Order: sequence, then C-alpha cells, then structure tokens
Amino acid sequence: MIIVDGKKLDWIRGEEIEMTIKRAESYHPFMIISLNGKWIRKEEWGRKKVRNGDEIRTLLMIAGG
Amino acid sequence: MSNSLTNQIIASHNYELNRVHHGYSNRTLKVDLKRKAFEIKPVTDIMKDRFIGGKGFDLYLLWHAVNRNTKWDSPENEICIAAGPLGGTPICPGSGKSIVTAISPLTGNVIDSNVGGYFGPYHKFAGFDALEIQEKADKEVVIIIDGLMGTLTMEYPPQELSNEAYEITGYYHRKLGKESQRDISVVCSGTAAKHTFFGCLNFSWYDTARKEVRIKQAGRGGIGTVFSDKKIKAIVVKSPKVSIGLNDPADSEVLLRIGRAHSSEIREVDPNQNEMSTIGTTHLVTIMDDYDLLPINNFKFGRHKDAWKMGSEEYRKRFNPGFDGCWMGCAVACAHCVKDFALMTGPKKGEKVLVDGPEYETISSCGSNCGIFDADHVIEANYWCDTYGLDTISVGTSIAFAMECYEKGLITKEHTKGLELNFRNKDAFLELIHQMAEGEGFGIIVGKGVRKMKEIFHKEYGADRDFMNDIGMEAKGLEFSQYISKESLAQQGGYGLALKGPQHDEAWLIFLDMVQNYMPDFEEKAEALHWFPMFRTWFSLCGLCKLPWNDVQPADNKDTPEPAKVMKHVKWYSQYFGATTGRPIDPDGMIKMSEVVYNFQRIFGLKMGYGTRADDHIPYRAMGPVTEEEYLSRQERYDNQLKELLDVNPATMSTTQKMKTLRRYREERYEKLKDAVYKRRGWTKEGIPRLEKVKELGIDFPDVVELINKYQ
Repeated sequence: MIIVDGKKLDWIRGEEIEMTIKRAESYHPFMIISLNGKWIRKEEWGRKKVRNGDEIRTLLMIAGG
Repeated sequence: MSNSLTNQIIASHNYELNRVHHGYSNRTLKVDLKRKAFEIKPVTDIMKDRFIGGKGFDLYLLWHAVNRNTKWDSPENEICIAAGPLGGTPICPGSGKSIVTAISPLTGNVIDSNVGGYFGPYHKFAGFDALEIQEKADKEVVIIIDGLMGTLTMEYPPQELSNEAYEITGYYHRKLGKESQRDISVVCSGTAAKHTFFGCLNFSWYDTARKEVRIKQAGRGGIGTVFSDKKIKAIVVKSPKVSIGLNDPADSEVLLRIGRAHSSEIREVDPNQNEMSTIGTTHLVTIMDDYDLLPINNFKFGRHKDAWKMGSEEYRKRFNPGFDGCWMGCAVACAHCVKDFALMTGPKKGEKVLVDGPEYETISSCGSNCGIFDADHVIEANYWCDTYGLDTISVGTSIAFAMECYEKGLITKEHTKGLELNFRNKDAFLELIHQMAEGEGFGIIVGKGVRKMKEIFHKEYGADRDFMNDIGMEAKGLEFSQYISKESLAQQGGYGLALKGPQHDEAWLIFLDMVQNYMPDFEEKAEALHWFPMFRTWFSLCGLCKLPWNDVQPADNKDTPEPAKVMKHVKWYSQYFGATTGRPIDPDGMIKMSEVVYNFQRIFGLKMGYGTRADDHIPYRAMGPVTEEEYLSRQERYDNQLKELLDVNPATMSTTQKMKTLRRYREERYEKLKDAVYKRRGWTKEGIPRLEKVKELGIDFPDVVELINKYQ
C-alpha cells in the first residue's frame, strides 16, 4: 500500500510516480512532489518508481513568501 | 518600563469624528512636524476614482509634496501611510494591511512597503484614509490620533523611554490602552534606523490570547530611517471597537457570504497545503533548497546539505502554538512567534523575550545567505533587527556581500575593524547588528547597504568595482529578496522590472517558469510580467494581504482554465470590492485600476531621476554564474545549456570561455525580455509609459504630460 496526499492506494510494482499521482487524481500542472518528505525534481517524475509503503505528497506551488 | 513617565504635550487639536462610508473616511490627515500643526484634507473624486486608496493615495499625496530635487532627508519628503477601502474588514482574511511610502535613502526613488498590524484600519476608523507626515521635528515627538475622543496630539516622549521597538510599542499600548490594549496600534522604528539606510517601521497589534504586544515590519527601502531623521519616536492611534459595520460596506450580506466562504476554505485546505496557520512561510526553506533556489553565501548557490536545520520542522518545534493573525479573524494567520526565547547576545543577553517571526525571508537572509544554518541564530537576529528597527532582508543581503568581499580579499580585517567576516561566522553577523544600533564600527558601513558599500570599498579600499557590481545583490539601490533567479528569466524580470527594486511582491514566477515551463517564450513571460504585477498591485491599493489569494488555493483550482491566477479568488475579490465600495468591478477592471497606479509610480520614478531602461539593470549574479566556483559547482547544467541552447561544444572551451559565452547569451535574453515587457505594458523602448497609455489611463495631468513628453 502507498499513500498519496493522505489517500491510501494499492501499490503497483514498477509504476512511475507521475502515473501514481494521476491514478490518485492528485495531478496538477503547477504541483511539486514530495516523496517520503523529500521534494523531487520534475525530470524524475516520469522515471522514479514508487516503492511499497511510500508516502507521496503534492503541493500546488505558485506563490512565494 | 513604568507608565508614570512624563509626556509633555506640545500641540493638540480637536477634530470632528466621522463615520466611514463604503470603505472610505473621505479625509486625509497631514502632520507638519516643524510647525507642529495638523491639517485635515478632503479625499477628492480623482483620488478615489483613479488612485483607489492605499498605495494609490500615498503616491498621490507624495507626488504633490516632493519635487525632483527632493532627497530622502529633505524636509519636504513625506512618510505616507494608508489602508485602503477594503482594509479593516474582520470577516475577510488578510484585510489589515497598511501601505507606507516615502523617498528612500537606499534608492533615492519612491519606495512602498506593505505591512500587517492594526494601524492602517485603525487610522481609517479614527477618521482618515491616509496620513502624510512632512518636515522634521526639533526633537523626538510622538503623534497621537485618538479616534474615540477626536483629538490629535503631538508630545515629547519621556526621556527615559528606550528607543527599542518592543519597549516603545509596549509603553504606548499600556499607557493609552487602559480600557483595552487591543484598540491601540503604534508605529515606531528603533535605535539602528538612524545609523543605517535600511531602517524599518514596526506596526503593532495586541495579541489578546497571549496578552503581548506583537509587531510586524514595513521593512523595505529604509522608511524607518526617514522616520528617525524626522525625529518621530512613535505614531499612536486609538480606534473605536472594530466590527464589520464600522467600514460601512455597501452590501454586507454579500461581504459576509464571501468572507465566510474564503475563511472556511482556508481552514479546510491550508492544513493539507502550506500549513501557513501553523508554520507560516517556513515551509519554503526546504522546498527552495531542493530546487536549488535557496540563497547560499551571497546568492552563489541554491542548495546546502544543512538547510533542513532551518526548515519548517525546526520552527514547528519553536513556534508558540495559537492564533497568529496580524489582522482580526484572518484565517491564514501566518505571523508566528517564539516565546521565552533566551537572548544570547547584546544588551539584554540572558533575558527571555517574545520574538515575532521568523518568516522565510529572514531565515534565508540572516541564515543561509550568510552560510549560517542555525534556527536559533535566525530567531536571535530577527529579534534584534525588529527591536532595533532594521530590515532583515537588507541586513542579511548586505552582510552576505561584505562576507564575500572579505573572503575574496577585497576588504580586510583592518577595514572590518577586527571582525573575521567569513561566511558561517554568526558571532560576527550579530556583532554587526549591534554595531548598527550603537552607530559604531564596521556596522555603520554595512548599514549603508550594498550600493554604498560598493562605492566605499572601491574608492577607499581600492576594491574591484566590476566584480562588486557583478556580485552585489542590489538593483535600483535596494537589496534583493531571497530567491535565486539564475535559472528563471521571468523571475529576473520579476526582480529587475519591479518598480521599487528587487522585491518579490510584484511577481514571483520562479516555479511557473523554471519548474513548470509555463511561459516558454518572451511574449508569454511578458504577459506574466504584466498581469501578475498588476494584480498584486491591486492588493496594495485596497489594503489587503495577497497571501489568501494564491498561497492557499481552492481544491478545484487545478481544474480551472487558468490555475496560476486562482480565478475563483480573483472573482471573490472583485465582489468584495463591489460589496464594500458600491462600485461594481470585474477582474479586468481590477487590472485596469492597478495599471493606473503602476504607471503613475513608474512616472514618479522618472520625476525623481530614475525610471528608465538603465534603471532596470540587475547584477549578473541574478542571471548566472559570476565565478568559476559557481560555474564548476553546476558544470553539467551549464555545459548542457551551451550545447543545447547555443550549439557550441563546451569540451573545446576553457571555463573562462564558457562563462563568457553563457553570460553574453543570458544578458542578451534579459534585454530581449525588457523589450517584450515594455511593449506589453505600453511603454517605449526606454521603459517610459507612452503618452497614449497615460491618456488611456486618465493620468494625463499637466505635470505628468510635461514630464513624459521629454522622453517620448
């Protein structure tokens, strides 16, 4: 099982993080993604595989301090 | 501090209390410090129609007070403070802002700074939409506006009263708030403002839950220095009890509906988004670090392995839990504080104090940008900057510049009067702040800001001017706020084309541009550099905070056609304006309102001898790597750009050649961006608003036309 924005989802072996987020209906054009508490760069979204037990968080990022 | 100290009244005047009508009190107050006189002036139709309020009123009043020869310390320079027609609405989040303007000691141009605390709305409810203060007092005075009794008083403060902001604000809250400290707000600066060019103003509010006076800062541009030069110790306002009805909205039913909907949405979504009501803007530290955007060592780098030591989790442990809105009922409530912080340095070493903050900008400027990764150091620096009346951004950016000059050997221990000014030296950092307060040592030089330091280091110490121009993070004389813009051309424009100087409150486009590639070509970047500054300006006209607009977003925002603009909120704001003033407006009309004031401010710059293309220059470090150390630290990125964007082979080039080639490319792109933005804004190639534009906006006043005609 994995968690995306607090939502529990089944883990699919070999699934990239971007696909997982789309499956969780959390995808957003201005999001940034944190995997187990670490923000990951956009180039990795389509490459990085989700592991069982991972916790993913998305944040809409259009404003600074 | 005892409350039985003696105050000597030197002028007093009774005035007729009035009621606010649809967001306006329809009067402004002018204080002449030399004549010790008060003047009440009507708000004209032109002011309301074209300049709306807030920053618009400030600029209108200041324009008529100064001339092209006015300097920051000229008697005719004014400090103008205004809320706006929407300011002071308790149900609507972020509705308590004051906007302050003056001719700046750092830039020589008009500066504006937007601040929380209760002063702006209270001043309006006391009877005045704006306050303008001119001339200089013979010795320190306090101005008291009593909106319950209808009295205006000028008095000499007790001699024993300290010049530290927490002491001054606490004293006047207790003295004048015997029935209710909550109905008082105080504006003051601090000890260091008179020794530096980046003195800030502190605006107070009373935290009823903690029973403490809190302060927020109008930080940018040295208005605190002007305040101190005018010999003002404090401005105090006493307000009637605030309710929604006090602002007399035209349609309170609509206002209640919007305010409740916005507040309840924030309470629902903020805990799952930025958690601003719990950790403020500290969430940005690790995000910026992960994306190579957190200033490290004078903006050389964007990432550091120790950044987490100043991240939100560290401040979550330190912030005192509770409601922290800097205006009544604000659901964002991001103004957090640290209680019982034991000071480590300075005249109060060992004392336990309440510290307002820190926010992201302070963490970066007083921490990472000086190579310091210590959450408690930042809290300490934050306390002293506030109470001494210093802008944390300018303090940190200036010290970072001095540190790099020291490490490069441009200045030595002889110049710093014994301070080892290496990056990471937190003792030296704090020592400089205390020196600024005492008016002694190398702190006086650093306190003049980056632009003046460059002059002094070159003329007096023989330092390399070109190199300092590349690494000195100032534009228009103002120190940069805390984002690395090297890889975002749009943000370079956001900084360089901002009217007052490189502050991100006009446009914060880094993620849209660099991460999301939302605006790939020049025209799209120019459109963003038109719309965002205009919309953000609108908040300053109305007396609002922009955080509730796009730092907290509706859950369905992602499904809308223009999610970057958060149009659901934009529409709410247009209804909020109509429901308060009775003047219906749509989102396009809001942009038009801002365009009037924005163009007027650009022309104001021209009047003061600035406001042209040359003034929109930014140092190369804001665009790319200045030193080999920077290039080599991101060599793969830069080499790839040379191959992919410029079709050259980096393998055959020396690092110096590669840096030169990259620099030429980046500087050309910045100039092209200027062209595109000026065109979009209706300005000439030199960055001057065209006469047709000025006519279209209805600001073709004779003196404006005469001024811009010289540049058409």
